Amino acid sequence: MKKRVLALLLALSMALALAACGGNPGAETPAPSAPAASPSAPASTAPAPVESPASTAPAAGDITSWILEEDTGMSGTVRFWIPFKGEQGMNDMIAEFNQTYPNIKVELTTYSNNADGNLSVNAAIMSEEVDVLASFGLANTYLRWENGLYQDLTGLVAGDGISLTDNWGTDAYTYDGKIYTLPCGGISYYICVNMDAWNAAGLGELPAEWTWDEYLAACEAMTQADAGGQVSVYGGSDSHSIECFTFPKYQVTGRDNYYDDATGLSSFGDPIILNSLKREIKAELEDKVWYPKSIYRADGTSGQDTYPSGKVASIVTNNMIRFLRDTENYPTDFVTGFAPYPVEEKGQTNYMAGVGYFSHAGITTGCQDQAAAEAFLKWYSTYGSKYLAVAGHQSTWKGTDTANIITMLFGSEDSAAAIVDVDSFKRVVGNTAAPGFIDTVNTANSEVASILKSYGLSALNGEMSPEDAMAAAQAEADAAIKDAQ
Amino acid sequence: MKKRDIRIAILKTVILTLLALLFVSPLLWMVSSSLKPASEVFATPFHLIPETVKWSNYVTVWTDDTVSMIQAYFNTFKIVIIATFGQIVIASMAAYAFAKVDFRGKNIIFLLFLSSMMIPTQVTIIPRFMLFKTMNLYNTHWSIILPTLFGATSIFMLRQFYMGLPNDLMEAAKIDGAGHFRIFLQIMMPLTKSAMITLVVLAFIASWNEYLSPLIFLTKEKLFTVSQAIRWYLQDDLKRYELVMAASTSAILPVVILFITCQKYFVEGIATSGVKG
Amino acid sequence: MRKRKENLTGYVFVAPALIVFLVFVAFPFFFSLFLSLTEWNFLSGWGGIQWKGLENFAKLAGDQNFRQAVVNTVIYTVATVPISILIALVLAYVLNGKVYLKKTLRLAFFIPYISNMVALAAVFKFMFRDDGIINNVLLNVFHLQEVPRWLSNSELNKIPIILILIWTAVGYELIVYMAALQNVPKELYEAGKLDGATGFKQFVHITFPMISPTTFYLVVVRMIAAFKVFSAINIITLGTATRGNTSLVVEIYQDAFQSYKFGYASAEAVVLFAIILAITLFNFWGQKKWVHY
Repeated sequence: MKKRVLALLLALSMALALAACGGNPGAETPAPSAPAASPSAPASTAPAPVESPASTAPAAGDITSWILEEDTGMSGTVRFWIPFKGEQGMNDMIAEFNQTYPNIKVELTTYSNNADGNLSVNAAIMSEEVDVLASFGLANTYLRWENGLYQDLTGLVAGDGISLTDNWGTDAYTYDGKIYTLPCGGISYYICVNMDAWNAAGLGELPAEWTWDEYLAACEAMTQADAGGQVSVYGGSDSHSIECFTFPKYQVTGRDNYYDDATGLSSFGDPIILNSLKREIKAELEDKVWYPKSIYRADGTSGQDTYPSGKVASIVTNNMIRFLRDTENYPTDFVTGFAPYPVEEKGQTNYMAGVGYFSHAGITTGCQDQAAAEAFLKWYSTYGSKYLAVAGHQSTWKGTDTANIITMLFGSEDSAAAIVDVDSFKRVVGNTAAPGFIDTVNTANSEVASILKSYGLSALNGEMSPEDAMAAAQAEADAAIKDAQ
Repeated sequence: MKKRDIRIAILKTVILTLLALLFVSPLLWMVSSSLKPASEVFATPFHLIPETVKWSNYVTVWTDDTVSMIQAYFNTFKIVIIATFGQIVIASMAAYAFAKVDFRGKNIIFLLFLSSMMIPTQVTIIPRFMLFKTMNLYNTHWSIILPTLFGATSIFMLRQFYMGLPNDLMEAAKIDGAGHFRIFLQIMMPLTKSAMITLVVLAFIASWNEYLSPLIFLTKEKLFTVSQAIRWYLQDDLKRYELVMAASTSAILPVVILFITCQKYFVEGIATSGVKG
Repeated sequence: MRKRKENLTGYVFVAPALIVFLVFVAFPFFFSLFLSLTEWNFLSGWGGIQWKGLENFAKLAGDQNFRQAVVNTVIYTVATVPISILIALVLAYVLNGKVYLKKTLRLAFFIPYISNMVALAAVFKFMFRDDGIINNVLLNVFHLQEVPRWLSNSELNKIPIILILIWTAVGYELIVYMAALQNVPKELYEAGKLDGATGFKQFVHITFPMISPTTFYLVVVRMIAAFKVFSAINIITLGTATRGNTSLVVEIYQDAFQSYKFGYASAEAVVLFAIILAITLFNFWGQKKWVHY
């Protein structure tokens, strides 16, 4: 606990330092200082002038000299588990790794990032079948820190003089003061817009920033009804996950969607979250300009089932790129443009515009080839992390060159232009220069998340009023948090 | 038969036929959807007969690289056959001993076995998970097979059956110098054939529908049972509803055919289980 | 000497069953009882077990989710057991009389019972979608404006689950009833006819009392089965997350294998065991009291 406070203070001081340098757009707002420093330093062009007191060697700002082992000819085997398939960038990643380490064999296992899949991962770690694991989402990661499924990397990090903040922009992802994973994977939220529908509605240029009201007005303009008055195309859609209505908390404060910044208890009584929930219910059930979340949940479908097929004209998403480039399974007959995640009020800093932390890689306690696993983890969490973009995620490593993501995804800008609007893509998707969000509190994370989801769905169904649902969720989540403390 | 009786019989048949159609209508919908292209499954208006019949859905689910119905059927039959026959053999031995061998502690052991009928497998699923992990049986078919080798109901029913067999048979064999093993294998066990068939049917239906244990103990696609294969298609990112229906049809049809051919045994087996007295 | 040999033979014959019983039934059962008094998740290894006494049970008493799961399980039981048995009884009675196509009809009612439950639940899941065939019919035949959201509304969600449980139970009960009906001695009907008992009267005064052991047996077996319901709910609610549509076993599964609360889930399992035990004891007691041969 003490260490966590320390980490926060550290982040705070860095934020102030950054603000003094004027290097961060988020620093203008006084309140949320901690996350401002987080993933926002411009990627490869200008290394952020951040000094981390924790780092001993190498020189400040040097984020590459520690990566490679002395002997890259070493041989070994690494069993690497991640929810992405070989063709979703992982084969290319492993191929590039083997150019540097030709004698280390990487065996890829793709697991499903749902409850079943994560159970099998945990059981596999205990059976010593996994060496390096990328955990997706904080709840899953947290569980593995908590129960010692990941090795404590604190010694390795200190020994090699790896600065977490220099490399990945944050050192907040620790448990009990120890480092178990490297926060090398992120996601960025944005809105995919069907340009045919957008232009047909006469909406003009894609916005560089906008509010929810503006987005909803655009959705209304793009919504179409059939002769019987039934909606045939919804103008918009939230992402298919239930918890998305809590993200405006990230957008405004830059941190902790589930937790109150001051008390550390649940944030479900926060007016930002309640308003966001009401807004979603109105858009889905009353105005019928958004595809209802309850249908996503009932049918077990996702954004990739509604957007590419034209059922919705726009969608809030974090991974649609992965499907749009898969033209065999998800063919589209329109070009997709990109608009940033909307803000609550004009002029606010948008902490949802940048990249937020999402996946965490570490070595499991069931690892069988320590040396090879360390070599692979160091390489994957840095040079290798750019391949996450092929699956629609982003690298959070500061050395990643974000300029060629389009080429990596589509082969070339020309072939990309048939599927996406290249200019708005470059502006919006995986914009590491914009401020991102961060999680600093994790108390009873898995439980709090499941409470929020179940009450959230009751409200989105119309079974409970949003006020009642959030009040009940707050009471239960607060009890769970206090219990865990 | 009187004319009035015939008319009533026809009326009854018609009503029952309509009801029966209602009963199988979800299955008709399933078969119909399994032969449609993806775009037609939820299309309105609904057509029972697909506009274009797509047999390739079946080719896909039977030969898929990750989860194929061939593999799933192989796995399921492996589990069902070993579990069913293992259970019957082990239960026959125990039942014979309880009925025909006089040994110390017999009643206590039998009472223990009987009382285990009250423990649903769902109650012990958590310790079994740990047990299999410790014994390295997790993610092997043995984790499903081993616990089903003990069947309290089978032991109980077979014991009743053995008790009904006359002791004279045994005594005669004993005079000829036969031991218990020979008596059991050559004389007694063959006589319980009808009871064993009943139990085979019941054990088959039970392990065919086993779902909770595989869901927890088998997580590798290559080990999946038929039930898990359907669930896998249901959860697949691509949302191929027609493939889920093809997999479901593939899971149901062969068993229906098996049932029709062995209808007599199935019906007898189930009826015996229910009619006590 | 002979006695020792007889003892030894007995043990050898019982040994395989006894070993499987001890390892896979008795040990896990007592371990479950023990775990219900602890806090533990398997990830922390054997050393992570913490003794909590009756704390889990105290928590269960105030746990909304658990209460909801128990209430749901009772609803599924009450809604499915009497209805499916009544349907099966009527069908069996009619099928037992003079009807054509007897075997084919029996087969049609029986197929759902022998079919794979997961496959059937998948079919129901699709039929009850917002754009599924059920709503399609409701829209076109009854001209409803607003379609029911069967799968995401936690109350409506019980309907497909209840329907599938009834649908799959009828086949089994039908076969058992038909066998029981055939066992009713013909002479009784003949004697009844003399007293003027025909049709419905005959059914109430002769048939029903004669098959009461079967009815009692079916009620007990179906109740136990209903309390263990899992597959249908697991498939039909796959992907949804409302708290309305759980059952006892679903709750045990989720708490143990999704939230990793092994101790707490074991306490829930112990409650399930207590309920099943109560039904079984009720069975022993009731058989003596109510069943007239």
